[in-house]
Amino acid sequence: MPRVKFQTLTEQMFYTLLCLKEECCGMDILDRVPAMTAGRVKIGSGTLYTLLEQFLDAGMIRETKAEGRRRSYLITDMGKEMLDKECERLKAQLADYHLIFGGRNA
Amino acid sequence: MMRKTKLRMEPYSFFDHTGISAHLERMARKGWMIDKIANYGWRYRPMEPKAVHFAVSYYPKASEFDPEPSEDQKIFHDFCAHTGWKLACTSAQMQIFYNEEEYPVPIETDPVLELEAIHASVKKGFLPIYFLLLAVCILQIFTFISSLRSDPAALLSNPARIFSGFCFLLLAISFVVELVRYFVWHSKAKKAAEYGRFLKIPGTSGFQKTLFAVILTGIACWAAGSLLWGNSTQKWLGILTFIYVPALFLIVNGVKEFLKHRKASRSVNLTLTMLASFMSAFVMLELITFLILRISSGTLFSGRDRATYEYNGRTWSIYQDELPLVVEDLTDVDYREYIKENIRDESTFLLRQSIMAQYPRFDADNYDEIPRLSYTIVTVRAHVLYDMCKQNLLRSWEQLYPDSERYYVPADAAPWGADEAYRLYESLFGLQNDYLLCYDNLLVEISFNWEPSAEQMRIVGERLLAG
Repeated sequence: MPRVKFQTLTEQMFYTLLCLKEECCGMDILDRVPAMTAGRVKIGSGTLYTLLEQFLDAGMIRETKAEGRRRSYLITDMGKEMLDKECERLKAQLADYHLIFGGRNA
Repeated sequence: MMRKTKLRMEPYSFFDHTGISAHLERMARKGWMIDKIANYGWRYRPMEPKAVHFAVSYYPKASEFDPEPSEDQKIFHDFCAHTGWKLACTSAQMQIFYNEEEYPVPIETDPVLELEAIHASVKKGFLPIYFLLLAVCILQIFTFISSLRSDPAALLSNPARIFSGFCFLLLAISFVVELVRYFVWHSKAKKAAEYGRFLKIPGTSGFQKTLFAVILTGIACWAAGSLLWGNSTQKWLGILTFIYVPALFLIVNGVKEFLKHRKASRSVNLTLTMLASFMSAFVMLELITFLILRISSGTLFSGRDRATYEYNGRTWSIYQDELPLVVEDLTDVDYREYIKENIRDESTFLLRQSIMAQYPRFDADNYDEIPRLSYTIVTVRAHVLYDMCKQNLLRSWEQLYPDSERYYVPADAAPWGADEAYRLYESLFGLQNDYLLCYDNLLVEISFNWEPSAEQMRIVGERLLAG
């Protein structure tokens, strides 16, 4: 099924929001996401730029500081809510997996 | 000595980011780095030949009228620089980056977001311009077809009009193909992006190259037709058009670049450039029309006799052009001050049309009684057009005077030595001295102010066929 915007989050959206638990700027996110995921997830600079714009427009993050062209952001309650919702969805998926194939939570 | 820069015309569509990136990578391997994309071509600077990755990204908020990148756009460039993507150049919304790392992280890693940026940029620049140009082309093609139906001889004997029709047709095809190609790709790419896949754009350069070659061939044919075999008016029209198009381009581009250099805002630049383009197009077209009228009336660059006379408060020209048939061939006349005018002589590889007249000066005594003659000779070189031209001439009086009953009726062709002959009939005045004569590859409309005898008809036929 096609994805409705922000109803579910892509990995790149998920990790961007995760990074913004602490105040950081775009370039920090570009460095942190690969570090956080051992290089599994990489965000392109153009993709991150657009994501930050869209998150701002949707009220999921807010700008906290602007030092010249270096702008910092922080996740909002709404963004945190989206992140929690995604986390619950992923947990439910994982639980279903273990239910079928067995494992820790089975 | 190494060349400082290289300028090339590159046949890529605005949205063909994969084709452009691959091409720039090939150029870098040959030692050329893209430096600037302008309306007159793509400029490259020399570099050490090496493998470099290129990426074309789209920034929808940019405009080609921006004096410099906005702060937000610079933030985007900073993000790219942080991941090793250096800005090579920009062209409106198109942002071209290169990266010297072996395996760089792509600039766009989400196909949905990439497609949104491309589509927003395309909607801002490419689509409105292409739809507008397509509308202009369709209007021109419609005008061409309606001229072809109403007066095929005048149209098909004029190289400039044939050339412009040919160009507008090709351009319309090119715009339709480009638009269809974009919408088909966009629709497929949208579906693919929803499932996380990037869809490559099918190559656009082959089609663009072919079209460019066809248009260049058309320009060469038209230039040869106008400059080598055209009459004085056609030659000058060709020369002036060759000056007009680049001059208009230089003026518009010059105004835009000057305002960018002076850091004028986007809106000021856009308004003034549009104003400059409309004004210069208008002024130059007026100038060309004025010059062409002067040339065709024989007052400029012409060997025509420039003698004049005054009548009724106006100045009239006295032409002494060569005519294949003159009144003196048909009858004895005492009048010696005839004006002989070859009003128009247009010729292409399809048709040649000559409009000629011999008439007395308006200040002549007994003006109405002096014999006068006017005729149009259409030489059909492409026989396939013969019937169309004949049918059009047969209908010409009805088309010219739809409210009155005037039409050609069959007449005896034998005295004229023609295959077919027709004579004008008017419901109020009966048969007139206006004829349409059909020969093997000639169509002649001839008008007398007297009723020609059989002997005069024979002479007309002989002279025109010899002529």
